[in-house]
Amino acid sequence: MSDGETEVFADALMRSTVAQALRDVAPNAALTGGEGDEGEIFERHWALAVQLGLTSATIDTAGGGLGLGPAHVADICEEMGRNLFCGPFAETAVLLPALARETAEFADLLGGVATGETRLAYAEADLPSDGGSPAFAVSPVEYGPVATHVLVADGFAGGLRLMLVDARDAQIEPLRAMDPTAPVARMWIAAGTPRRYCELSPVSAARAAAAMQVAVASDMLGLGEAALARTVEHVRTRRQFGSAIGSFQATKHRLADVRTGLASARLCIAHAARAGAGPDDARLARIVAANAALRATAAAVQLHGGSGFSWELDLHLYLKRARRLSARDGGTAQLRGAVADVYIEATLAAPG
Amino acid sequence: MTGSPDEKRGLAFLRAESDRAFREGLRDWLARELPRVTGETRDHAELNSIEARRAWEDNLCRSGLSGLGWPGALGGHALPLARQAIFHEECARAGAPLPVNMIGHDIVAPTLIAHGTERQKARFLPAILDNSEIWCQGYSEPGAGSDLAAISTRAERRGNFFVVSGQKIWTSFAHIADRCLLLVRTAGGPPRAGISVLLADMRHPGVTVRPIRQITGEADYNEVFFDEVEVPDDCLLGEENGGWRIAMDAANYERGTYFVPRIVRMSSELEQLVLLASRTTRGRRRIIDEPATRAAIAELYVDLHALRMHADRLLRAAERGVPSGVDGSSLKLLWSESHQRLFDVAMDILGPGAAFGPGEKAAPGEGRWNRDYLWTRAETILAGTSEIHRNIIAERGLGLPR
Repeated sequence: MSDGETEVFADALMRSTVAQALRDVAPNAALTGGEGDEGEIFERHWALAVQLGLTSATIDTAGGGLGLGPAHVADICEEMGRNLFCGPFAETAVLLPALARETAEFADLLGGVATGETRLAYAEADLPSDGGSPAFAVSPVEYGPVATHVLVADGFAGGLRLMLVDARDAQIEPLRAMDPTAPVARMWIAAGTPRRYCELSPVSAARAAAAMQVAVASDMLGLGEAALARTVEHVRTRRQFGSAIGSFQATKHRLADVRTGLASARLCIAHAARAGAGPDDARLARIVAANAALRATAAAVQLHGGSGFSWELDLHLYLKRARRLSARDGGTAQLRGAVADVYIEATLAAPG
Repeated sequence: MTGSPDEKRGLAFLRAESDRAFREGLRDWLARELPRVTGETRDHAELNSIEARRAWEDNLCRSGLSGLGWPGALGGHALPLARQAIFHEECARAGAPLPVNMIGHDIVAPTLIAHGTERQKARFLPAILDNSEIWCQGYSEPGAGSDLAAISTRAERRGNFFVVSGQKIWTSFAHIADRCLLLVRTAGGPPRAGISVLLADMRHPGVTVRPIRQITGEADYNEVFFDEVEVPDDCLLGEENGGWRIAMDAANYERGTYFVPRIVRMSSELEQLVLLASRTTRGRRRIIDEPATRAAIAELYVDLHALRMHADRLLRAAERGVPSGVDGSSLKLLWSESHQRLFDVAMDILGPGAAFGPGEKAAPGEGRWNRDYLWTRAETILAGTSEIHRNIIAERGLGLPR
């Protein structure tokens, strides 16, 4: 695994196995067929991820995991995005092991990650600075309704302050979710409820954030490509004014830009997942992938016309997933701010 | 190797063992030669006058730094693409003037090497190698822009000549060119099937060049009129009526190194833009501290990062001999549009300074921002408009119907 580029494309077998398994276990139609079966789809998806060993992907071999590097993680997450995987995979199987590499605090959870028993929900909030245990409420908690643990992150941009709560100690109240593939909840814990705090230095936080950013970027790449493929199929066959709507330049040009954006995302992710890449590369990949996924999914809904707006067709799932993912971890505004800060500071500091 | 001509001219780096030694040797050479040839001026406009560009390019060629990728038998250095890329990268990084005979070096020479007869190669290649003949490219016509196959400049066979009549337009460098890679119609029928390529002499009777003033106020491109111009038939490149494929193969961004210097220059321009924003104040606030400026700079930096990834991939594909096809179109589109945005942002930063004309010495950067803001408008039009490249991506990349 010395060459990140070949690693990304070398393991076609693993990638196709994951993709095929995901397609078999839960077609998108299950999510649009009726209300209330997200929980069941989650269970099926999660069981599959465990069965394929994916939840142990990033845990090192000494710890009983597969010890896969970021390029394989990118492949897995891309297929999960393409097939709308329902479950906190990146949080549990990418972020948690990444955090465990930076701090001993979460080591005890890794066993449950590999077996699939641990399911980590994730939320962003300002945490009490004194590290005490007051009553605390946070929402939305992504995947809160299916979680065994809830991780609350405060300030991914610089250093990182984390709070981990055992879901059994909390009240988890399901709330209405934008994205049917990611149920959300409100978590409430009473004063005195046990919780674990952990602080990471900016360098540690950046490394852990980078692992998550590559995973989220890859998910967005996969879902963006799926949305594009569906849309290309549609505009080649849908006819208006006597022609396929894909022959109109307005359609072509919009989809050409979608294709180019996704190509950029793929290249930037491969670069960020190669050996020796840094947090800046991950952040850039995350921004490029978010731009591409938002553009792809918005074009998909628009170019499908009235049916793109309907619940029955599953296109809205891509749009909603892209929107949710692009907005998390500080969102693209904060990420762009970080890019500007790093670049401007370096440029002004350079001699001449 | 001691005492080889290259070594005497200080070009021992051409035979360096490693890319790194090649780069370092080239850097030293550039650091010595640039001030010697261009003088001490850092003036953007002066460095980019046609005269300065020609002088620098002549010096490169006299020194033996041309024909980098050509086979040794044709007087070239047979350098691998990676080293050619380093060459272009370092020249751009050193701020060397742009070439004027890029059509000769980058388009005509590889096309001749691929499609020319031995006599044509012997006749034309040495004069490109030493830069004694400048080339232009007679493609577009008033009635044939993006729809290049619609050209109507006719070439009729009469004895040993093709007699050419018609008009070309937007012909860059025609006013200083000695020769022209000329696209002509030699037969009726399907438009693409009746096109031939001639290697025409611009000094021939019947050729009239009329410079066209462009958006920057400069006049680097021209109308060219051909009135019964007799081109000897041994100047036909490839088969008669087989010119369309040759013309398509000649597109230079397909060759892998086209974007390398452009991205280096854009990277340096973005750094200059940050410096400009840090020195510009409005309402007693530095423009660099405005959130909108920072967001715009971040977006340009993200674009530049993606461009580097695309260019790197294109170069590696070219090294393996894989045609870039749709990826070349994506890169051309991304580069030209983000380069334009860079100068849009520059104009916003300049504020009232946007009112200065191109090259005005009193303006920030001696008017380079204002000049290049206008110049970059050309980049989404030349070498295939953005619209054409989007069509190519949609049709060939996504399989959408024509």
